[in-house]
Amino acid sequence: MEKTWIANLLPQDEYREKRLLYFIAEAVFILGVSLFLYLMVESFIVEMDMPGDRMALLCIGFLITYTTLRSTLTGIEYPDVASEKRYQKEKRLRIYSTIHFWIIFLFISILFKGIPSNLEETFDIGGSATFAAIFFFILNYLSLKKSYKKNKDLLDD
Amino acid sequence: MSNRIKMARVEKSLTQEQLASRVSVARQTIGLIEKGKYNPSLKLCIAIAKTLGKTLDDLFWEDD
Repeated sequence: MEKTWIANLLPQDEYREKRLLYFIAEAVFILGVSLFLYLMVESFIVEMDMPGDRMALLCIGFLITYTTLRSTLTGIEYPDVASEKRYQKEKRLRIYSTIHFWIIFLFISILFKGIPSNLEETFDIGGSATFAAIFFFILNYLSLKKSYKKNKDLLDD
Repeated sequence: MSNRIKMARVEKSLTQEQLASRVSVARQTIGLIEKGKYNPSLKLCIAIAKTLGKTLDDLFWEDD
C-alpha cells in the first residue's frame, strides 16, 4: 500500500486492512448520498432545519456504527482464533474486558454527573453503564463467534 | 484465483500459522489465499514464494 498517514490507523495484516478500507469507503459513499438527498429535500421540498451539532453527531455515529458492524459481521477482528481452546480463552477475555468497560463507564458517568444522591440517580447511572456493557459484550461476542467460524472453515492443517 | 500454496506449504512442513508469521500476516489471510478467496498483493505473493522456496509461476500461474 502507498505511504499515507491513514496507514498508521489501519491493521498491519493486508487482508484486514483492505476490508476495513472497503467498509470505510462504503460508509462514506452511503453518507455522501444521504447528505445529498438531505440537501435536495431541504432546498426544494421542505425545510427540516436540523441543528448542526445533531447533524454532526448523526454523521459521525453512522460512520462508526456502519464500519464497526460490517467488521463484526465479516469476522475479521480475531483472525488467529481457530481452535476451540483459543476460542474459549478469548471468550473469557471478552468477559473480563466487558467488566473493565462497565467499571470505566460507571467511573466516567459519575465524573460527569456526580455521585448519585438518590435511588433514581443510581439506577440512571448504573442502568446506562449496564446497558452499554451488555451491548459491548454482545458486539464483541458476535465478532469473536463470526471470526472463529470463518477461521475454522479455512483451517486444514 | 487458484494457487498451489497449500501444496508447497505442506511440502515445506509448515503450518498455516508458521507461514503467516514468516510473511507477517494473520493466519486467516493465509487460509483465504489458499482457498482462493483473497487475491494477495504482489508484495505478499513474493514474500510467500520466497518463504516456500518457489517462484511466482510455481505458485500462481494457471496452466491451460
